[in-house]
Amino acid sequence: MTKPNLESINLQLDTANLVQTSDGRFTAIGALPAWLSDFGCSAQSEEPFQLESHLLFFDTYLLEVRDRLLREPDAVISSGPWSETDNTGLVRNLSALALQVDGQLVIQIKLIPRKQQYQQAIFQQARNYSLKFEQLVREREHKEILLHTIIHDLAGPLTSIHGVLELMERGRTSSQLTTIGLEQCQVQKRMIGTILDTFVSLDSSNALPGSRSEAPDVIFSAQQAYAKFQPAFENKKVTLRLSLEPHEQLIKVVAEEDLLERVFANLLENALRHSDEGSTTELKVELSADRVVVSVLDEGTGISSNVIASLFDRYTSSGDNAGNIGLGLYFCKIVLERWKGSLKCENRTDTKGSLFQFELLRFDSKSESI
Amino acid sequence: MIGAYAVGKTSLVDQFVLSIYSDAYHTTVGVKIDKKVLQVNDTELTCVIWDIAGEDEFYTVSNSYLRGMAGFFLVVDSTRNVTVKIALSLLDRIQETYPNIPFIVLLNKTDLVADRDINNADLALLKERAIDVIETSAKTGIGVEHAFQDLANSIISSRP
Repeated sequence: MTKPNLESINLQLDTANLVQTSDGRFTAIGALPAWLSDFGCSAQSEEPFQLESHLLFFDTYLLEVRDRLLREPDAVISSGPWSETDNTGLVRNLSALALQVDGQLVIQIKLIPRKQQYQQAIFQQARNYSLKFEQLVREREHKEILLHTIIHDLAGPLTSIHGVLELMERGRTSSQLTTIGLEQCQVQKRMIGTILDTFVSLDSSNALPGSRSEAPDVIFSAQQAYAKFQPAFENKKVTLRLSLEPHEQLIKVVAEEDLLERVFANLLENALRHSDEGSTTELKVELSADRVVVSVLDEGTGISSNVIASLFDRYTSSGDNAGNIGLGLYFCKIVLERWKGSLKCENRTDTKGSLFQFELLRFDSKSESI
Repeated sequence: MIGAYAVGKTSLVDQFVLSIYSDAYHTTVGVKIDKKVLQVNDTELTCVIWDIAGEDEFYTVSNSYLRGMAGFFLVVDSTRNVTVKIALSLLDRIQETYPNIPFIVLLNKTDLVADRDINNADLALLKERAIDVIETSAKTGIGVEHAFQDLANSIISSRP
């Protein structure tokens, strides 16, 4: 029985064995495996070739090997796994060993078979768990903060209502004070509503419209908001003007109808609060390529420069605290961002007052990124 | 490409080299090597891109992979502030051996606006040491080509 030769063993193992020549190039020891020809190395050729011009990894690895063998001539230097795309466009997972035999550098290159890519699978699993863990920690922190904030935010209005009720219970209020007390309760009730709405929106994970029929029509929402606020503006002797630039009747946007209604309401309430008698507020809807731009332009006092950068943060108000707890604009910002829209504000340059502008994606142009 | 695991290094390379993106996360083991010819100021520059596996408790980046690099991207995930801290520690280690190699910080996954979780003070520590911080999205492609062009320009201009 004849012993198998080294060449047959290498072919069977699908490994490439190369030895470095005196000019720094490499020649094959025996035949080269077929996969190496996909990197441009001829499987049959006995001509020396520049290994690093076919397998880019060797550009650096050979430097490392040379340095290491100078220090430790008997070392067997493993490359660790690497991937490289061959000339057919296939990504190959490879590993190599380098050692010195009789003063010559020998390199063995091995294809890592898919079924043996245990290391990859273990890393993948470990990192998936690790990512999941990070995500859970973040979610827990988020919920703890949310819970703490809700308790903190509700404490104020509830204490206020409690105070009014206590006075009434003790019979220490006149009918006039009772009326004021009840009005205060109504104000606090609205605040509680705003607080709860805001946190519900903040924690709502996915309520985007799935189909065109569920998506709200921004023209209709603007008209509704205009009709709803017109009397309040009139009452304060402020003109509210509605400008609808798009000619289309129906413009569906990526938003949730009830929340969109509140975005309109918050911005119009804000404009009304800061507008003086005799001024005009304009609610404008315009179209760009794939978006709808809604602007609320008032002729009020404008936004103070030290507040403008943090105006959309929680509890930032523009200075006038009449019924304003600083959550309205924050609410607008978070819901608009959830819809992949945006909100900005600036002082007007054409006249006094401010501009609040939000953009929404048109539902028809809803991209795959949503 | 250097950075913590799952910051999107491989996706950035895939977007740059092949103009493709996949949402599936496939961790890199060792290093993945790609090549692309880039046009920089009327000159063709062949970029050999070493996408080095992200570092964590399971894997440490081997310094030998960094040998011969002309420049690098330090990639950070804009939705995970911990990746900024990892980037800072990697940078300290890299600059011990390679103090003058130009690098750009890529703030990746910026399409995930609502999930952004970056401490600006931490990012500022990276900013003051990098040539630039570029916001990218491997998913939408935003900033990717620009980042490679910028780094290529910096590499060319840093050469004597």
